[in-house]
Amino acid sequence: MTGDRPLLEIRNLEVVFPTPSGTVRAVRDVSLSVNPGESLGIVGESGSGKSTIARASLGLIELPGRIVGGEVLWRGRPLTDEKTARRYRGRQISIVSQDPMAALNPIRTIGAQMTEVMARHLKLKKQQARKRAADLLEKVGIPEPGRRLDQYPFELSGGMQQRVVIAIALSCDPLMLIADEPTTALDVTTQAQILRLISSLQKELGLALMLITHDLGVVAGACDLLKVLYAGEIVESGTADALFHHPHHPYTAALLGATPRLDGRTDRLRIIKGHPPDLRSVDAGCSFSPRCPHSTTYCESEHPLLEPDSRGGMFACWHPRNRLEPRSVAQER
Amino acid sequence: MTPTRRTNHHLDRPPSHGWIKAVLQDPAALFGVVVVVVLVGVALLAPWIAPLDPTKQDLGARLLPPFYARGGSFEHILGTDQLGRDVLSRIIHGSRISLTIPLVTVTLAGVFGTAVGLLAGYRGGRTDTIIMRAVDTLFSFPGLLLALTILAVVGPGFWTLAIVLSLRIWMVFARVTRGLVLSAREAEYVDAAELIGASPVRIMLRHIAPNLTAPLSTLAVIESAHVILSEAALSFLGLGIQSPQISWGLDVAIGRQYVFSAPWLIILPGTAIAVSVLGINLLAGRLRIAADPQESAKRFAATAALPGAQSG
Amino acid sequence: MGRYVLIRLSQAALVVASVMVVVFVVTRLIGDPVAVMLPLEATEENRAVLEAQLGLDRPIFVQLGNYMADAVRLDFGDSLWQRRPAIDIVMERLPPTMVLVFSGFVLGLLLGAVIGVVAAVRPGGWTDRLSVLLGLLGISLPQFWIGLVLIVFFSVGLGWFPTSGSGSVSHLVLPATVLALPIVGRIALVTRSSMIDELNTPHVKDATARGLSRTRIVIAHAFRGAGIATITVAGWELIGALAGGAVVVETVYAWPGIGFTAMQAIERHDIILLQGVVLVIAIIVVTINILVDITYTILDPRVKFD
Repeated sequence: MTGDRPLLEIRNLEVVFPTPSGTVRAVRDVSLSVNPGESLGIVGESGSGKSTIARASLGLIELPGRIVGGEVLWRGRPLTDEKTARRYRGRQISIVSQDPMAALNPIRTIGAQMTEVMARHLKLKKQQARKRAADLLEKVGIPEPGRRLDQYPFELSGGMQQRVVIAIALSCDPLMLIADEPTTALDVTTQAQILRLISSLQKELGLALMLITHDLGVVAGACDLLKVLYAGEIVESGTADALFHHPHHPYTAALLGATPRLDGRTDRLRIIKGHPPDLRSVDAGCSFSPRCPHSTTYCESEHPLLEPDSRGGMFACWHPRNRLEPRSVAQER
Repeated sequence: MTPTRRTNHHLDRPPSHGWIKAVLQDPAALFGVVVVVVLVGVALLAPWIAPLDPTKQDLGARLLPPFYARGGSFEHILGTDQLGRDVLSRIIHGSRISLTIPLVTVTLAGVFGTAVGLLAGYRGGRTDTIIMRAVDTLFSFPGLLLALTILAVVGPGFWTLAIVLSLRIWMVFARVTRGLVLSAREAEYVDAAELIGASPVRIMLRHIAPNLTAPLSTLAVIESAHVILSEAALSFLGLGIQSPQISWGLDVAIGRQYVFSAPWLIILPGTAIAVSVLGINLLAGRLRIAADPQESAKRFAATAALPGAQSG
Repeated sequence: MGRYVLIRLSQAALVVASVMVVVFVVTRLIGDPVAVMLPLEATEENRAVLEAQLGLDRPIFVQLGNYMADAVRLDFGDSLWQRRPAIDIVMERLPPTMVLVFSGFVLGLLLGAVIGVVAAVRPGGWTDRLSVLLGLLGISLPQFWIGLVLIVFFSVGLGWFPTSGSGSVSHLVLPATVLALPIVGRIALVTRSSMIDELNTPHVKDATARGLSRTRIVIAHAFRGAGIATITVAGWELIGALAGGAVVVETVYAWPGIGFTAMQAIERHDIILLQGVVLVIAIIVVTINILVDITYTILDPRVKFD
């Protein structure tokens, strides 16, 4: 395996959802890549297109959604091809989704749901699969794993259910894990436990991780790289460190302001005023301008494109924050 | 959005789905509408459009085949029965029962059932428990057999038939209405209206009734199809409409004795029943989609997924 | 579990008792059983004799008490038509009905489920449209008519099956098919609808994301859930076939079952035999209801007896 070749590569992805009242442009010109062992956080409000990116990374855009532009490549092969995608889905790329209660079939035992995946991808016999399933449950911290196999999801707590979902995701030794809001449906203490579990498993198994969340606090310790998504577009990307300490885009800065700190201080909590734009009719200017405190008439008519910055990241804004050299200087030249 | 902003992407929006437009685009629903319109029209205009008196016997012209069969003529387009009565005229007049029986039955059952459902859903508590328990008990009665017993004992007739048929249908209305009232009551605006002290009748009329109209009308259409089928079956068994009144089910029963020599006496009136009921069911299917936003979203998702199904 | 069964049984007993009361009220109070049973030329004396024989000269509550007490022991009195206990006739005629209803029900259930699943796999596609049309035809065609049409084509025209009667498998084909038709229709429509819902649940989407095959997802995940949702409707269809469809179909094909018997009893003004049929059917109907509930609790692990 080559260390530097990206596992997942998304190039200029465009996804639309036709609805009775108009076509929603859910993902607009999004590019990203994930290298082996790397952890990437994708942060955005609900409706920003982050879940669509997660599904697209598995080659799954649910009807009536359509990919109308760009590519999704898994180690160079197109996941937009259903036959290719089916080979890797659940085998090399796994997903842990938001609500474990909804992710597990309520009327089938945990054992059945675990073993069927291994039977499919690893061609394991029933007894081997059950053995492996019990080992996996133990690995994700579920007590009495042997007994759990014959239980139904509703007999477990939300946190335990999410551990089962993680165990299923890991069952075929994947190369990459996609965690789509893995803690949103859980209570606060369980959230921290599940996050720690995902992080430690990622490091221990050398997995690539794509962690998707609306909460910058969640990605804080878990991810090396971040991408901030707004209205279906990436508005800023870079190392977690850079974005936390020197956010260029006002939206990132606002998200940081809206993040409740773990020490319980809430004085920094600010709600971002206004609503995300209607993605059925996308305006010419910067999508964030109606909510942006620094917006000018220029912002309202001209669309900012992603451009590299000095920290090795990218941002799309006409009036960036926290810059060493103000952008206006660069423009005057 | 602020009016000063330009819009550079105005993506294709499907045309606004008006009800009539939706029906016209759906051949099945269109068929349903045509059937219902024809049924109503024929029933209203029967004496004027029927070529002959449906009860006039002509023993010299018995069991004449319809035009498509050998020996058929255009004098009696759909042939004649064992008494020489014109089959087409009988089918045209038979439509009157197939229109009036469902109208009367569904009105009776709908009014009563809706009232019971409103009472149970709005009062809640013990009233609700007792009413719905009673409905559940009655609902597990062997319906048709009990209807047969009543008709056998009381004697058949138009009104007996209508009442017997409504005995089961009112429960469907009661259940559906109760469910709708319960979910409407959960809505915040009803809470708000109660808080400001609006009278129960006012809340019922202003806030709850509007939520009932669409689903209950759909239900009435669906149940009309049931009633037509049940009336035809009971008339066929000799316990529904009686001669000299004309019913399609009754005519099929008469034709039964001529299954070898005059099969059209079975096939033609039965086709009238089948087409009417199918038409009403197709229309009901479309109405259900129109009345239920979830259902229409599902349908949109399904059609949009089809290549070429999207209109710009 | 024991408590649950007890509650269900008492509910069932309540239903049967109410059916008894309703039948009593209908036959003795609304109608005039003596007038119905007697020939037109009967005298006042004939009338008095029959009234005494039926116990109609006693106070109404005594009559109801006696009637209930007898009915509980399945003693409905002697059939006026055949001059022997009504219950004996009912029991003789029950097995053919069971054969017919069971064949029709199983046929309808299987065919309906297959059509419903096929429709749901590609909603909006031509298979879906065709399946919905088939389903609507099933619930729209009058059974007595389609029964006669099949006789016209297959018995009279092609001579493949006998026109009526019973005794062999070829006698069973047409009536069972006709009985199955509305079941196919309703089960197909309900299965389709719950399959579409089930295929759109998050857990089915996640199963897809785990790379499971489409077949496995449709059968092991979606159909299992949809099947549970269909059980209640299947129960209603079984009851409908027994207490409704069977009367019509048996009459059309002269199938010597309980529904045909009911019609014969009505023709011969044999109220006692008719009562026997209605009550026995009522008992079977409540039994089916209990069985449906139990099946439900067995198949759905989330439902517990309480």
